[in-house]
Amino acid sequence: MSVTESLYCSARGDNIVSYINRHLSRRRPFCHRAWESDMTFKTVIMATAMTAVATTSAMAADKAEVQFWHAMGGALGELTDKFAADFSASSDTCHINATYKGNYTENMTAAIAAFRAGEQPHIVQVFEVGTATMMAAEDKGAVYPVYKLMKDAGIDFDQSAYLPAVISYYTDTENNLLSLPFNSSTPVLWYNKTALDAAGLAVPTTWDEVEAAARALKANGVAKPFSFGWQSWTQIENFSAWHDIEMGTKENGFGGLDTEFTFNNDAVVNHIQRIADMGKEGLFVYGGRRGDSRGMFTSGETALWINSSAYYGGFKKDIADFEFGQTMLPLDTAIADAPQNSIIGGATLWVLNGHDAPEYKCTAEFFQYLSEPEQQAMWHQNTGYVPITTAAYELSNTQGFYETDPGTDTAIKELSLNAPTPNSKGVRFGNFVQIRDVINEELEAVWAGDKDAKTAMDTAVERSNALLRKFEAAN
Amino acid sequence: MTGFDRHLQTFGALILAALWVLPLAYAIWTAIHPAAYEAHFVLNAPLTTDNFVKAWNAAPFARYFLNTFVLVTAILAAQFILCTLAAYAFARYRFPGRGFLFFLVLLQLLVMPDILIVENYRMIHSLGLVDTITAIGLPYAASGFGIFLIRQTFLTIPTELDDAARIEGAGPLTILWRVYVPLARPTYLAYGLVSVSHHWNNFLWPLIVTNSVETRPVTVGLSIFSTIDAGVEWSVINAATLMTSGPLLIGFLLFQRQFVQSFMRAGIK
Amino acid sequence: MQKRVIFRSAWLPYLLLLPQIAVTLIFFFWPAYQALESSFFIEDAFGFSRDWVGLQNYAELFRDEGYIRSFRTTLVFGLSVAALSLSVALVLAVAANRVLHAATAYRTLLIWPYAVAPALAGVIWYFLMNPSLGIVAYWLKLMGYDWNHYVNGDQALLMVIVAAAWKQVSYNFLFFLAGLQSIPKSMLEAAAIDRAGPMRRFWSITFPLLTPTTFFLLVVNLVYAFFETFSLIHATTEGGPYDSTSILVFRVYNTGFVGQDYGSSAAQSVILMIMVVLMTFFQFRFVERKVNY
Repeated sequence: MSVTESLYCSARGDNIVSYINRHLSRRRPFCHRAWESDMTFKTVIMATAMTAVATTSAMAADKAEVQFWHAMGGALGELTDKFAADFSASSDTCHINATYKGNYTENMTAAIAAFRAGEQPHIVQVFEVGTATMMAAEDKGAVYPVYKLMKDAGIDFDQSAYLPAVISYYTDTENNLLSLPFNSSTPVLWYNKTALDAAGLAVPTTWDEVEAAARALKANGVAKPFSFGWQSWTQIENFSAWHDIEMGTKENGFGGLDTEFTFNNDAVVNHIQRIADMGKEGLFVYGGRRGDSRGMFTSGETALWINSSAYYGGFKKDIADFEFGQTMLPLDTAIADAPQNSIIGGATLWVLNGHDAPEYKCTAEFFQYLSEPEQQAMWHQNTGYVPITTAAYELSNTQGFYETDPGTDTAIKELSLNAPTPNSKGVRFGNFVQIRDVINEELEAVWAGDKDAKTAMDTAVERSNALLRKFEAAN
Repeated sequence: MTGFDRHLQTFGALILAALWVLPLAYAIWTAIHPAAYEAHFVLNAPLTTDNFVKAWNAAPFARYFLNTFVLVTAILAAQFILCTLAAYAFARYRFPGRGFLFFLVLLQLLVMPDILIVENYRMIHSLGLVDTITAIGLPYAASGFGIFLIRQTFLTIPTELDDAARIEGAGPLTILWRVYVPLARPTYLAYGLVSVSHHWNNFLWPLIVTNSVETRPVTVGLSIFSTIDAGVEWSVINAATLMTSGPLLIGFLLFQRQFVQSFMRAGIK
Repeated sequence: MQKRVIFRSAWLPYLLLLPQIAVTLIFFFWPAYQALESSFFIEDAFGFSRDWVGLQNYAELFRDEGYIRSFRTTLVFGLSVAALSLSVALVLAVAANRVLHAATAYRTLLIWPYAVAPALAGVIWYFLMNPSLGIVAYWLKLMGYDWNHYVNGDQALLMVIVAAAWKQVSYNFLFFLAGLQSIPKSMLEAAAIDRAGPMRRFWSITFPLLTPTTFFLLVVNLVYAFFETFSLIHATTEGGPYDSTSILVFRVYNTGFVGQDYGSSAAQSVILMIMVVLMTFFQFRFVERKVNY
């Protein structure tokens, strides 16, 4: 392994650096080490390293350089870097330089600061709530839309190969794809099967059943039966899409910047009030804005937990004491008879203008490479993110992934349950990062018992609309 | 005061001290034991270095440490030189605009440089310095806090020393170097402590202005651990925390004795 | 020979100040001026459009109840951090001064937190206090106290105050210890002969002699609490629950970097700057008059 490591390192084209590096340490500190824990990954990396050595070292200098800034840390970052390295190794003309630039926020700030100085990367990964900001930038010429990039590069780009619910979030009004979905997930209901069995309960499918199950679980000794994370995304944005009700006017903002919020409707208010009441009874315990409450689920304190399907990889590794599973989001039967479809979260790759044509051709080829079933299936199976093409889903199916890892197709099933309606295509609101903070604040006031659901949602809509007007004025 | 009282007070202070280091003690506990013992305190828990190995391998830390070391040394050197010169001018010269300029220095003391990131990035770009260690350090080379501190110390230095040196024919810069700087040593140490600790741990600006392994400091490497969402391993995070603060701690320990002693000699004012 | 040691030279002081001024002009005053300017504009993230709006960004802030509440939160936070870290450090230093033989190990332990990055200090506390995994939260529960800082705003504020003060105690401790050790033993012995009790001796002799150190540390601690704690808050509470830990500097960061709203972020920086300039001006005036250097 150590020989391969040093070869891999020198193949990256660092000269002085790798010299110092060799003197600093016997390991290869410059190259990210691959999945220590997983032998199959290790083999993959070794194979890649060999190819990389064979092809890149001689020609790195004449290749077009593409800068790719991403926000994937840890194992996800290593996979992302591997995609870039593998593609570069396989191409005679392109080299993708993948750089970790902090979390989503930091990555976007860095890209914008760089753009304003004229030093922007070619590709930048942006989270879904930044979509409206990036789209506004597209209108002004900062962004090179993906459909155009592909066409200019002469690549046969078939948009229908992609899962509609995944790409609909990122298309313009003419249904053209603006950015390439990279890591997408959707909320699912995670359950502790062992705890449900012990209480003699079936997996709940409606909100009434969730409430009843939580009560039974509590009686059976589960301390905090129900919880969730990313509350705006799971309990308002997705709750609305799942029941085919709008969150804001103008097709959830797709139709124009003059959109206004309507999520203080009875359906959402009653839902929030139900959860608040469950909280008073001790059936629901709030555990933080992000994924902070993950520990409540892995420790067995919570048996029903709504959050992203992308937790799968980590759960598989961390949960040993009980059996867990994932199922579709619960339905509120007072609102709809059947669920519509869920919407995604995650991030996409945006291309920024201002570079040369050969580099954009490389970018287009890299995007094509990322969309291929092999890459997509591998990404999907190792991370819990959904595949972006139908072909990758089918490949995972024929590889038997959904049999060895049951439930992992829940996310795709939720997303493709029905053809997306204007209420379930996604949401596109300006200043949405701050708006999610407003929603977080108001919901927290409900969980603490300081406000009732109606008052909180009215205030949230009022404060959020002010932020929408501000975005409209700025763009 | 009776002996008993004395012991009681000492004991109380020790308890408080123990309480204060408890978070770190706990971090050490989780870092040197397998994850299963995170909240399970038994004396025979097996020891492991796995967490450190894992943390070390998650990013090219050897290089990051080198970068951070170069960075904090360069910033400290630049700050000492710039601040000393400026403080000397403020403490010992009368010149038109002195009050105004000192006000400007105080103003800088109060503003978080992170607010100015977008503009500073543009400036660094026009100087052609993006993705260099110089770019990380340059905006911090001037320090209002340093000037303020050193000026205060210079003001307390007895004027007779100046006179004596001047009679011996020393010029202003010689006097600064031979008289003022040595007498202000505790202040330099006190300021050095703040500066080194701040820049060792600075994160946002280095992240934004650098892109490559060859220029990035330790904190950027650390940031890949602090994603709460991805199913964090506390034991590895704690190992990484100890690992990155280790060199800084050793530095502090080497200096702290000297720091306390030179304080006693000069007395901080 | 001049009587006062004030040198006269037409050019030397300017030459001495030149490097300092050059750096601050480029990396501080110019960007700060641009920040001031952009507080009067509304602009989009990428800087394509820029509309003059006068004082609208400021007016909006003062209409926002959350922003007004933030002043109170900031004040409570800053003063509590300073008070807690100064008083704990003083007690620890007094104890260390008494038992000099054990002092090295003791000092070593106490200075450690200062080496930990603010964000990581946040992470450690986050872990300790986590309602379901945290060991401290668990102990509190055993004592019959239900800890959940995700819901309870006062608990959340307490947590960030303790975490912020925790890091700063090390620094204060060193200064107090050095200050205590420079007090002549003879003074205390003289007081002991006069039958003054230990508390009396501390308050009438030791503490007054520590005043300059205390004032200096107060300034350092307040600057720290007001400006350098945003990464800690970002790593732990994100300003919540509701807006109970949303201090002013965190808002600046959140509006500017997370929300990409530079106009409002700039306006907030300007308000913060004015506030602190006034405060520090007052403080230094007070300190310089009251404390004899």
